[in-house]
Amino acid sequence: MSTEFRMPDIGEGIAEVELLEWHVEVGSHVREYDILATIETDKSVVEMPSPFTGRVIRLGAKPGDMLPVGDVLVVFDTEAGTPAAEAPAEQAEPPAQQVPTRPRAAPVVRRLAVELGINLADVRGSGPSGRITQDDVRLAAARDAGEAEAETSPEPGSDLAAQPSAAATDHLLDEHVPLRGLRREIARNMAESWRTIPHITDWREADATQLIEARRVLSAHLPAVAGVLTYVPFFVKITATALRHHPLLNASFDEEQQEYVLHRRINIGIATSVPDGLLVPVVRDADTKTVVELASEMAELVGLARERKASREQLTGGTYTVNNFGAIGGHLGTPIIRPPEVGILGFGRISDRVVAVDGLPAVRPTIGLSSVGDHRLHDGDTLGAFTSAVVELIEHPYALLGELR
Amino acid sequence: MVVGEVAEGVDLLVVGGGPGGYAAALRAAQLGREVVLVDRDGAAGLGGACLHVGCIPSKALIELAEVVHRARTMEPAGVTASGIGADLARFQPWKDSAVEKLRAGIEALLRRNKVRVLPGELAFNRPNRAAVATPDGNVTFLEFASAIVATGSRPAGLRGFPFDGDRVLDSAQVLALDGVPPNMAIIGAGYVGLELGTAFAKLGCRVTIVEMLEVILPELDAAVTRPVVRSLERLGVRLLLGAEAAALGEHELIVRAAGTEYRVPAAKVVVAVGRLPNTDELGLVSGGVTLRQDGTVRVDASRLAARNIAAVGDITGGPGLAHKATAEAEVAAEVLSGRRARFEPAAIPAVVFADPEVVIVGLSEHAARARGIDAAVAQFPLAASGRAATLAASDGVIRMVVDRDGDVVVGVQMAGPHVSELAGEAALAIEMMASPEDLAATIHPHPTISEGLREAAALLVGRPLHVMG
Repeated sequence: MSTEFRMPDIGEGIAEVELLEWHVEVGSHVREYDILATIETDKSVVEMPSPFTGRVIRLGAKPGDMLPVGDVLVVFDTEAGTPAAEAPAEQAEPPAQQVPTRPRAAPVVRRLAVELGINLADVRGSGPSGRITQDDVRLAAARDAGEAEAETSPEPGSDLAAQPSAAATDHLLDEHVPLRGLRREIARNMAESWRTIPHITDWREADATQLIEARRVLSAHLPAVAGVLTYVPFFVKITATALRHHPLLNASFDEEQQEYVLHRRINIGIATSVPDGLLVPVVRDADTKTVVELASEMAELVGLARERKASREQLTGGTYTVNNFGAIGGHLGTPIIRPPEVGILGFGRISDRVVAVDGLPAVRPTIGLSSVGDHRLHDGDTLGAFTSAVVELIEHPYALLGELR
Repeated sequence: MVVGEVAEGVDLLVVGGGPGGYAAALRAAQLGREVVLVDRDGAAGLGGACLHVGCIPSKALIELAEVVHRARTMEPAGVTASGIGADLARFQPWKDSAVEKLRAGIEALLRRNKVRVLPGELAFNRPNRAAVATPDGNVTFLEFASAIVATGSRPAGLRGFPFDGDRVLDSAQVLALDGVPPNMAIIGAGYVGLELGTAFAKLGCRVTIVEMLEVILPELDAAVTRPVVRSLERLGVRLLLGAEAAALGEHELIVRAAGTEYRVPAAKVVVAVGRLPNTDELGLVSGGVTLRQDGTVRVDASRLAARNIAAVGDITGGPGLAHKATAEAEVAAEVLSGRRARFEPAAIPAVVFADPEVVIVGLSEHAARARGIDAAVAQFPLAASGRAATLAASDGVIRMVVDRDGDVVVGVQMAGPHVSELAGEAALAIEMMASPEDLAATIHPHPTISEGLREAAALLVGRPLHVMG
């Protein structure tokens, strides 16, 4: 008897997943809880265990396919529970009787596929009921051309430009990469933020002399955590502390309800670059934790995020975001708010700058700050007051001693 | 090269002026090719067997027979007429003028596309060269860059019954008769035999159809052929199935069936047992083309038979249908003109202009199951059709076959008045991979036979209105 395993709703409120990799193939004998496939949702990479014991008779998608929740992931022959049980010569359907389903494509699409040399069996349809559209075929052709280009080893003396039709087919060599998974999520969210939120930015520079000293002292004091005690736990602690004094930045803006929500908890999201984009793991109640506690927790969170193993909970629930673009060498930036949050704070790299000290030029380690607010809720004064608090804490980190719970 | 054998250069050569040939010429010309079309009969042959001795004349005759027949049978509906009959002597020139009008249309199209049409018998003698024996007795040579062969087919004969143009006739000769014979024996119950038998019976001829198989139109489900069999009975056509034509008597055809010998009245004997490809005198092998055992040309999906020679239509095998030839011709012209194209239709509709008309598009239920398709079938009887009732033609059915797995229509078979006009919609549904839901959700006008197509689809999605699901 065949049993379908449909893509379950894995509780993240997602409509579809991307199939990254199969761990089984047609004919595989699978036991309950064996891993069937690796799938990617907007936020995380999940290994999908089998709910059945049986033999795989059909896979519902190819790696790279987007699979809507509820669609068939795997079809099992659940009676062939074990290889031994299969041995009796049960008259199975001869595979020769299986007709390959004709690709769901109208004549104009099939014609285009022939013209462009595309095998429709390899094309994923984006139209209703998986219908292959003309655009799907053009995209597949562009991708093929891109791959062909990549495979062509540039032999010495070969001159592609000498091909008479090269200019005409240049567009075919361009690589069209569909937005998928995380990248698509980022694209949607950032564009939405930029479209709806009037961003204002308060750029500052702060003297990081004391901060450097604080980190040095703390690392010497607690050598066990020295390895994970970067500046970022300090940034998070400083931000959380400043937010406690300026709760209007630790808020959500609700356009629909025409209200804003002041959050009691201060949960700081940390923009973390991962191979396909940016994830934001969240440190909860950051204001109540010591810098050392934050350092260990963040090391673990960021590690999980980079491996795409962070849970949904670890990636949601933030009330404010910090971005350490100093890690890539930046000084000032224009961070984009993650709705419905109303602010984001970018930390630049600490570098020596000439500044005026007591009327004289002096070289001081300096950090750039880019503090962004939602102008629907914030004006220059509220945003500036918060930024000033951050500057104050960077320049005088021992003030944090008064903020511990 | 023989000395003195000076060849004329030709860009693209088309051999045959039928639906395959002239379509290939037009498409190639549209793509910028300089085209020369050679037909045995020159411009007079444009349109081919289809126009001159096949599809078109037979439909004209069928229409005449239908008008006569309906004038007689619609008497209960209030028709008053007497002395109704058909004069084939007047029919022939009327039909010829219709044919000539269509032929002249093709000639004008070719002229506007700057296609040169030459008369002559052509034979290939090299992969890029052909000899043409012109009607004036000369031989000219053509050296071509590409060629498309579309020489069609001719009626196959039957051993013991040689065509003589008088007693034993092929389909073309029957259509040229200028009088209705008192009786006629037709050998073969394929579409030609059924169409001619039906038409002549309506014209008052006593018709017997002799068929070797036990069924007519074996590719159709019985539900669709049954109305045709019933109609033949009503017309007084005798259908001898599982029967073999044995010999020719003076006024009869001697037929053996199940050990019994029948003497069938046969002032005329029509042999309609199939068609043979016109490939034997073309020298195609010299052109580098491979022929199959049955004389058909081996081609690939792009219709290429050799590097620079394509073949289309009846000579390539498959159903001998004009529309198939035309579709193949477009592909061939494009491929030889450097485009990528393939002949890969999802369905080639076939129509039998019997009474009622019969349509086959895509897969029958049986064919679908044989391919391992999880098929669902629904059937709408025309007894429930308002339009069929007003036509006094309620004996018919519309059947739809659906691939349940893919939720797509894969086949439609129909028997009923004017269902030939629905074949295109059925083919479109199959080509577009329509779900039965698509057809059920498409408004079909009332009162038309086309509503039956929608109702069959509605049955498949579980909400028919005019029949019980």
